[in-house]
Amino acid sequence: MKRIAISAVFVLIAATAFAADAAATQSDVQKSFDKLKTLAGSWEGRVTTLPPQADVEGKLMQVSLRVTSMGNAIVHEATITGRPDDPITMLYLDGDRLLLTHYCDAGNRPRMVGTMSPEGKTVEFEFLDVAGSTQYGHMHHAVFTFLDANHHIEDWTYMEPGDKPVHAHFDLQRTK
Amino acid sequence: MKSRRFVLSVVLISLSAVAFAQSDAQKSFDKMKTLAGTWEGTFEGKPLHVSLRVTSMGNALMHEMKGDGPEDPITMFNVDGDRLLLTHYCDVGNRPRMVGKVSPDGNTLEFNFLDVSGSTQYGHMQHVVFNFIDSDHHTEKWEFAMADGKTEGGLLDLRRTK
Repeated sequence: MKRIAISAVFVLIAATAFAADAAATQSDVQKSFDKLKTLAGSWEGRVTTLPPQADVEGKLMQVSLRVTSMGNAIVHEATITGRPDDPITMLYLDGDRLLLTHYCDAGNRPRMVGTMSPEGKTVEFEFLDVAGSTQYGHMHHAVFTFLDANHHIEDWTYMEPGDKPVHAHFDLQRTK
Repeated sequence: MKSRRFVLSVVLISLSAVAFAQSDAQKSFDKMKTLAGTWEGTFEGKPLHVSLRVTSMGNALMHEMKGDGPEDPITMFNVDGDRLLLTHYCDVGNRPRMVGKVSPDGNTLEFNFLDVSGSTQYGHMQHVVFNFIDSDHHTEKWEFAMADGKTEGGLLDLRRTK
């Protein structure tokens, strides 16, 4: 275990040594990941859906984003007041890709690849693949829109069987 | 987020799971879920905090570890078909996956290396053993494979605090 910590220190040393170069040549995916890290904190807002889903429409939801694994991952947690939903989404870099893995309430784990828009205001995740059963559908698409330091929007698209999309829009204000 | 039909589907999944014999992977996962809570112990004389939380409406278990340094890895457990998997979001930046197998007496869950994504330049976690002692006491033995092939490990002796 001590070596684990030492290994992590080596990573930090290497990161410091090449910081200057990194600043000049920071990859687009690293920029996107760093942008997402600015969302770290607690958020709250209302859910709207299309087509409207009576069981969640207008409900208050809470989102938490936390930088973990010594900066190598972001944990995204979502809950809705009065409902059991509590999916976890892990965001991380994988080589030259920004990935997310969504640990879905439906029991499967779709992965998506993220791309930041040219002006840096949105990061859009496109479906890559999914592990686990998709008998009851799967999460398929996500867009994070950065409005200001205390306000962002998340648009998630769930694909029901038969490729019927259900769109959920989270308008979130920072609470911490 | 989900339609009424989707919620109904989740209910149907649950009923199906109850109706049929539980798989070994599901039994192992259920055993892991009994660890949900917060735990404290020491590693080499320094305090260590571990949290395990059932998430994703029971479909995943999140393990978080925090010592007195910057380390804060996340490990996710889930059933994948007939396997119990863990994915370790490591402080060194990679994500090894391991497959769990329960001992005949049900007191030990051993996770063996399956694969890893991300750079292994600085090594990777490769083996974990959870030992269930009683409802308020368990141990975790983590083994890290260094880039030179050597291994290092640590035994965490953890007591429940909540």
